[in-house]
Amino acid sequence: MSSQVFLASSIIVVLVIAIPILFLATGKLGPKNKKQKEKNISYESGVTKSIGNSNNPFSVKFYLVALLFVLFDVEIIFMFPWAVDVRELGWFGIVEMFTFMALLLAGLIYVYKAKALTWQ
Amino acid sequence: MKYDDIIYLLPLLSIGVGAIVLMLLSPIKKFSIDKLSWVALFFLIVSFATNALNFGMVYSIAPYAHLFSYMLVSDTFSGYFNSIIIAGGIVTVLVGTHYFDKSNMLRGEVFSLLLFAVFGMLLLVQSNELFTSFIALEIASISLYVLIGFQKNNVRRIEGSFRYLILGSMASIMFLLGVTLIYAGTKSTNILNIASYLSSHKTEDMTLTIVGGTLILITFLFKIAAFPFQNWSMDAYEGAPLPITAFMASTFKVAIFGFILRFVLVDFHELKNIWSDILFYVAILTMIYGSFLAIFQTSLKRMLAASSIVHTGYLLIAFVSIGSIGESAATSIIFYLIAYFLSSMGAFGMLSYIASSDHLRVTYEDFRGFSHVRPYMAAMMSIFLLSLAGIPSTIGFIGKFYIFIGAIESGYTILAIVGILATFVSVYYYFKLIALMYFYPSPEMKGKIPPLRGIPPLVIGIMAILIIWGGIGNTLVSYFPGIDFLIDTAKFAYQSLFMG
Amino acid sequence: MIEASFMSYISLSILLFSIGIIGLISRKNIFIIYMSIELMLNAINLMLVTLSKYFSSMDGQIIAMMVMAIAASEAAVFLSLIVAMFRLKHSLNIDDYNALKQKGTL
Repeated sequence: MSSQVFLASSIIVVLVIAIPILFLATGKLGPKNKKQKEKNISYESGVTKSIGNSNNPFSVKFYLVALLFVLFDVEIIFMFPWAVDVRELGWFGIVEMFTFMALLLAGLIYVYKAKALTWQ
Repeated sequence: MKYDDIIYLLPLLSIGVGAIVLMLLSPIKKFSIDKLSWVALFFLIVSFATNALNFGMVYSIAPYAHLFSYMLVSDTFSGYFNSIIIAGGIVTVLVGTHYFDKSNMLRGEVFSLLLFAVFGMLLLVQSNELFTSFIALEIASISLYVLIGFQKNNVRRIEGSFRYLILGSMASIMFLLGVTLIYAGTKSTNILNIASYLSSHKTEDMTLTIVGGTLILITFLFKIAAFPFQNWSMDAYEGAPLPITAFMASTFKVAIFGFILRFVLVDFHELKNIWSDILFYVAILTMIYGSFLAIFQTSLKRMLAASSIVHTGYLLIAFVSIGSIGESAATSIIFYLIAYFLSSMGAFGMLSYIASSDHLRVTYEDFRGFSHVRPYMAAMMSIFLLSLAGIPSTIGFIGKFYIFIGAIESGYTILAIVGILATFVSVYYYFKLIALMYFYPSPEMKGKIPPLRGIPPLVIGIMAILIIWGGIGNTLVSYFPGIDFLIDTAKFAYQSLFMG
Repeated sequence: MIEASFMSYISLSILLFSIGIIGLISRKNIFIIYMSIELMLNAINLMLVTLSKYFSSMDGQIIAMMVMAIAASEAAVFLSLIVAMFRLKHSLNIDDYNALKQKGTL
């Protein structure tokens, strides 16, 4: 190896070893996070006695709807470039895109059957 | 458009259709896990049969080349690896159904995810382009992440899946960066175009490609659990349910090796001496570190996971010694993958069957005197452990024999010596279990031995017979395919990479 | 005014990628780890699109779209695992998840 490559790679090796050591060392040497009950109570100005818990049990339905939205939104992303040129792609392009949509439709049927979309 | 190219795509298509059909069938309550497993088996057997059809091709062919723009390829090399992967899927479904039935936390979607993982691995071996292999790697990996963490209420499973997920994602993204750098260096991501670029340019122009290739190699070392990256495999193998561990440990490694062998043999065979030094030390350290890990384990699952790290070391010996000198090193690595697949799938599958039909036996002490309680299972387990250790008259011995010969022929005698020493050490932790099973009295009540029922003992018996048959070879019955057939097929598969 | 040349795009991409890696290694909150993974994927997207413009070929842009789809599916799996983990331990700190650590692991 030429001397420049050697110098460059040794600098990289030193940095790769030094940076995580720096991170971990500052974590260990820094102030420790002492968990005290008083530090974690919810804050409301003037009210000293809090009633009830603010962390309500969170139903997972919200998460499921958001997740399904993300996945089908990515499908729509793929449909945009196809829709620009659909005339030039002809019948072959339509069959191709409909195959893709059929696969995702199978996924949607599964989600429906597995009762992930019922709100109650 | 040629319509009879579909026959080259049938293995992939049937598994894909099967995965989607299973996904649609699994929420229906009428289909129990048993019936779903028959559907999964049907699609797997169809795929195996159609793969055997295009097994004997002497050249590579790209099916629907214009449609897929040379992304897929089908030749004997891919047919060989396809059959190992589909066989892994079949054995997992057959042995694992009993386990999935007994632990009623796992639902019918397991088979759909398993078929998706098999689909990803088949695509990985058949891909001719780097980005297609990235997509295939992600399909297989994501299915495996979900399969490991399938029981939501068990902390160990979720945590094993999470550790694998974070490190596996990082490795896949490094693979993607390597693909991008190769694209920057050679203006194309097709393996054959990269090969023609590399053979026609001088070495100084190829810095970007070499860096990209190194990143892809790092991902490869990660996924097979080689030396600096082996810690995730202990956690993931321990956290996963036993049939899934069997599937991961044997089939996924075979698929990754299939892709990397194609990539390195077609593209980088002139540039391999850039990586030889690093891979040399990685192979030695993998074997030493894996042996150290395996000696100190008390849990059987972790011991088998550490021993699979040592087997990765053996495979890396053969990988380092691939060169232009002899082609026996490349043939030996392709052959050892079958030996490793049979032994490792058998060992983990045996543990899974014991856990489902008896009770879960975790540590060495649980197996004390096991042969007096269940003699058939103890005998099968001993055969698989002997094959893992490389004792003669098993297929594991012949695989190791060819690997060491290949290493010595290419001049890497030190690797062969370290490999033999690692085999010596491995005899300790394998034979500890065999001795505990046979030579000690059992603390349990010896009543009537319950009869073996169902398909899993049959499948495990067939695998054990294959291991012994592969070890003895052609000398017994001259017309039946034996060890020579496998070695010739491996040689043929290696040669078919370069034609067409 | 600094002109945006080809190399500045590439160095921005590499810089984002290394920030992603450092974030993945050294942060303790699970969400921050996930955001670092997404940052790495987007850095590679930027590099792919830049290379596609430089070579005047469409390969890079098509690959970039596929990478976005893969990032979305990985998001699905990752976030589901985070939800499952949170239900078990009610903590977002990965130091609290050490059920698989054994005594005497090297």
